[in-house]
Formats: sequence, C-alpha cells, structure tokens
Amino acid sequence: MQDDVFKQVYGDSAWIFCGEYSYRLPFLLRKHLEIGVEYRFLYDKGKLTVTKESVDLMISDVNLSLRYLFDLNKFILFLGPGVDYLKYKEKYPPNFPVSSVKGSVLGFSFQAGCYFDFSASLGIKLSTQYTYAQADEGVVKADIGGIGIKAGLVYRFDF
Amino acid sequence: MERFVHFFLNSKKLSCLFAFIFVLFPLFLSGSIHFTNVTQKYNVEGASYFGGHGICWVDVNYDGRLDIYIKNHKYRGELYVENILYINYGDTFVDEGLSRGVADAYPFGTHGAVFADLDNDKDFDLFSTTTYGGISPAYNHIYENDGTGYFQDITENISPSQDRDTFSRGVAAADFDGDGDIDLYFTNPLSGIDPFNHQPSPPQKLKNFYINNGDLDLYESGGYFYQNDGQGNFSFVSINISALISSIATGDPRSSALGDFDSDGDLDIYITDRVKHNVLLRNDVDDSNWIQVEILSDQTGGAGGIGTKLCLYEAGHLGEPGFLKGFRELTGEYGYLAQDMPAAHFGVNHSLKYDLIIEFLNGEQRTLSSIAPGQKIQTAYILPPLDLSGERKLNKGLLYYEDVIQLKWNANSGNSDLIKYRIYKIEPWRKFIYIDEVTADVFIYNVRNTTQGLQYTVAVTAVNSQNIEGAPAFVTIE
Repeated sequence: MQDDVFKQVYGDSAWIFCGEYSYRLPFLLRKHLEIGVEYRFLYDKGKLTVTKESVDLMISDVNLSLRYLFDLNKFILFLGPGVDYLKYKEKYPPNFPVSSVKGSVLGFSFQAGCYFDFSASLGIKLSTQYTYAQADEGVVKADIGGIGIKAGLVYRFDF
Repeated sequence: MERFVHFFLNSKKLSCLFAFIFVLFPLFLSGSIHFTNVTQKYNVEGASYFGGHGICWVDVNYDGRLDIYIKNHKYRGELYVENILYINYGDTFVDEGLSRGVADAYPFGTHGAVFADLDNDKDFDLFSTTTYGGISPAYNHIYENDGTGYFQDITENISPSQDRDTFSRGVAAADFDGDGDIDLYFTNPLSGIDPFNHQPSPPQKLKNFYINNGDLDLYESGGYFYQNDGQGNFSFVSINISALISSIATGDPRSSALGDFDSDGDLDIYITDRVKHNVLLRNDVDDSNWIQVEILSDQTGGAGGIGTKLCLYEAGHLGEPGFLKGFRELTGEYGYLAQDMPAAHFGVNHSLKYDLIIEFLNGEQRTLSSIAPGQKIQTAYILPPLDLSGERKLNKGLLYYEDVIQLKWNANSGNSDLIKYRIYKIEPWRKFIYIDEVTADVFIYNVRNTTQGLQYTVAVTAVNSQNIEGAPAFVTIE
C-alpha cells in the first residue's frame, strides 16, 4: 500500500494472503503465455489519525492476469497485466459518524517476477505487483491498490 | 471611620443628602485630580432631546470594553423616548440600543435598570423599571442577552407576571436569599397614591455608601468632589479643578456611574442630566496607584461576581484589621439609576504590595498574595483553564474523514482540588450545551463530528470535588 492515509491509519504495509491458479496456454506464442486467477485478502487493524480509536479494514481482490513467460532453465521470468475486482469494508468505533464504509471497485495491475522450480512439480514464486484501484467515497478517494511483494510455493500438475 | 459614619447617620442634613447621589471612590489617593470633558470626542452626549436618567457601565458584548446604557425619561411632554446603548468601539461610542433590542420607549421612559445574570447563563441580562404617568402600559421589563450583546424582551414569559402598571424607579440585583441566583429589588414609591398626582417622588437610594477603612473619596452627582483624609473626614476640593465646572453646570443631574472606559486604571465618571446634555468626565490621574479586580462569571460568583466581597491588605498582613486597605462588595445598581463597572477598584500606594481576600457568594474564599499595583486582575472562585485553543483536524480512517476540533488547554495553577473539566458547545443566546467531561489530568479533547465552514464556540470549565464549576474559558474556531 502506498496511500498516505493508509500509512497514517494502518502503517506502512500490511499482509495479504493469496491463492492463485495459473494455466500456461499451450497454443499461443510457443507456450510463452500464462493466465492466472488469484484471490487476495487483506485484513488489518489501525487507529484513527486524531482520536486513535481502533478501525478495521478488509479488502478482497479477485485478479485475472495474463503473463508472458521467459524460460531460463530452472528460472522462469514473467511479466504481464491484470484486471482486479476489489471489495472493501472499513469498520469504525462507536463515536465515529458512521459505523462502516463498504463498496467495490475495478482495478488494474501489472506484475513481474519469477518461478524457481525445485522439481518437476514444486517451486517457489517471487513477484512484485502494482495495482491501481481507487475507492471513491465522495470526498474521500483512497488508493486501495499499491505495490505488493509476493512470495509463495508453487505446485504444478498436469491434467 | 466612626466620625465618617457619625456624619452621615446623625447629620440633620441626612434627608437632604439623600436627595443627591453620592458616589465614593478612591479617586484622590495619588494626589492631583484632573478630569477632561470628552463627551463630544466620544460622541456620548445623549440624544437630541434631553431626559437622561439612569446610567450603567457594562460590557454587554464581551469585547473587553465597557459599554454605556442610558435610561431616558420623558422630558417636557415628549413621551416614548428611547433608551441608549452606547457600544464602546475604543475611540468612539455608537448607539446600538435599537438594533440590540434595549431601546424600548415606554410612555414615561425608564427609571431604573440593572444588568445581572438573571438566567444563570453567564451573561448580563437587563431588568428595567418604568413609572406609570397616566398612560398604559407601564410595566417593568426583562431582556435576555443572547451572549453577544443582543437582547430579547422576555417580559411576557417571567413570573410573577409584569402586567400591571407600576411606579418603579430604582432597582438592585443581588442574591438576597443566598440561594445562588440573582434576586431583584425594585421600588414602587407611588404605589397606592393617585397615579395622576404627579408629585415628585424622591430618588430611591438602594445601595448606600460603603463603610470602608480604605480611602474612599466622594463625588456628588452633578456637584462637588470631596477628598477623604483616610480617617473618614472629608474636605471640599477647590472649585478650580478641571471638570468641576462641567459637573456643577449640569442642569438636573440624576445619576452618575464610575467606570474605567479608557482602561488606564483610574475611574471615569458618566453623568446623566435630565434637562441638559450628559457629561463624560475622563479621569487623568495617570499613575499606577490602583488595583482593579474583576470577578469572572461562574456558578459561584454569578455574572460579574455580583455579591462578592473583597478585602485588600498590605502584603504580609492578611486578615489584620489595622492593615486593611480597602473593602468592596460588588453590586448591581449602585445608587439611584446607576451601575458602576462590575469590578472592584482600589486606590493603593504603588510602592507597596498587597494581599487580597475574595469571599464569594457561597462563603468560599480565595487569597491572592503580593499583588503589585497598577494592574487589573481577573479571578474567580474556580479559575478557567489557561491557554484554551481549538484546531480543526480531520480524524481519518482510510475511507471516511471526520471533522473534529481538537481543544487543548493548560491547568490553572490557582486552582486546587479539581476532579474534572467540562466541555460545552456554546449556541446562540449563549446557551451552554454539555458535550462531555474529562478527568483533571487530561488537557486535550476532541469535539467530534463538526462541520467544515461552520463557526464553533466552545467553553471549558473546571470542576472541583464539591462539584462546583468554575468560570469558563472560551474559544471560537472559525
């Protein structure tokens, strides 16, 4: 996250939990294209900037991406764009004028990274991703995307 | 002092003396007297008609400058003459009686008036009396101050109802029954007498002179100055002093009131004249031989500290009768048709320091030590917090911003035994809307869910362990 207000309320960063299914397309560009569907979930607790009361934030993101792959032996580099559908909800303390704000927004993303295979079926995935998604709540417009760094295990299978 | 009392109480001229108005004040302690007639300069000579009766010094709009309220009476058959409220703008006064709602013109005019906090909302309301002269209505009236110096006639809403013609003249406001609110006493000198018999009634002197061990001098309204030798013996001051001629030349002076309108530490005099123009005498003593004490309004002292007693002693001799340098009791109207500024003024020796005992209406006392002369002191039973400030802030979540006003203040070292602070929002008509309270060790508070673009006035008061609430500190946030 890079939004200044996010940093004031929730700190400089937050953990996002992800799960992704990707599929290397067998018929285009000599099998150098991959599509992925990813679900991400963020939950964080923060404090209002003045009264320091606790607030909760939940963001869920469904990302559909298309990546171009570069095969380098055990490394596979990739990069590509994506589109995101984000749902968000922020819950406020009792004295706040509203109890919660929730909504949804479409976003766009771009990611780059690499796979490193330990074996034919196991590997790790390291990547970075920038997502542009702006929640528009009247006078308040919050960037709920930002830059993320991901690390995860990869399990490959054929079907 | 005994001789002083003896003179007034046993003089065969007593009834004659009561026909005049006496004002005692520490005018001459520092020696020379010099007044300048600045009536024209400050544009306060009254109206084109005459009929000036009463006079009150009072800061109705809380801008720190004393305003003048003048009660006018019928003159030479001219009825329905309006009262005057001169608002003090520093270098001039402007009559705003009409726009501020206190110019009401009764058939025979106004006789007495007193400003006091009649509804306990910490501003000066107005009670005025009128006299029946054959034309109804001639009711006494109460005007409620909205907190900014604008008044509304609420006479119809008060009890007992003021729906009968009266013959009221003088009025005094004080807590007569000791229950912590202001009571009213007003005269009705002609009651029971044929209302069409226009025999003059004597002016009613509701508050007589103070018996005082200090050096109170004497001014006779529209008359002479008398100097006190400190022992209660008065001597006539020579006629060739400045302003005395203006005083003596008044036609039918009715009242005079003392107030330091130019904030130079000495007491100036405004005199109303029934048949000629009014007169403002500026006191030009110009030294530091004075101490003024203003009691801030709170639930104990009432507006302006009316009813509060103050005893000034030479420093280090607190409570020793031989070192008492002045005693004052703050009252509403003082004398006939007049109200001095609501502060205690002491004439002192500038080379000494003084201790002061302030006794509030509830009997509680506050002591101030080693007071240097030449200063005005503001105090209260429970003092307001210091340095109250307010700042607009945005209380941000990621997706919603709340407008808040962050209040900050400091503890007043003059207070003890505090348990909490109360925070109020001030609404029109100076209504205190309770918001919240915090413990006495907290000096910050956020007023929640405010609106950008709206002006807010907020007050913070201190509360002690007896749940007595002190004088408020105010802040206005644009």
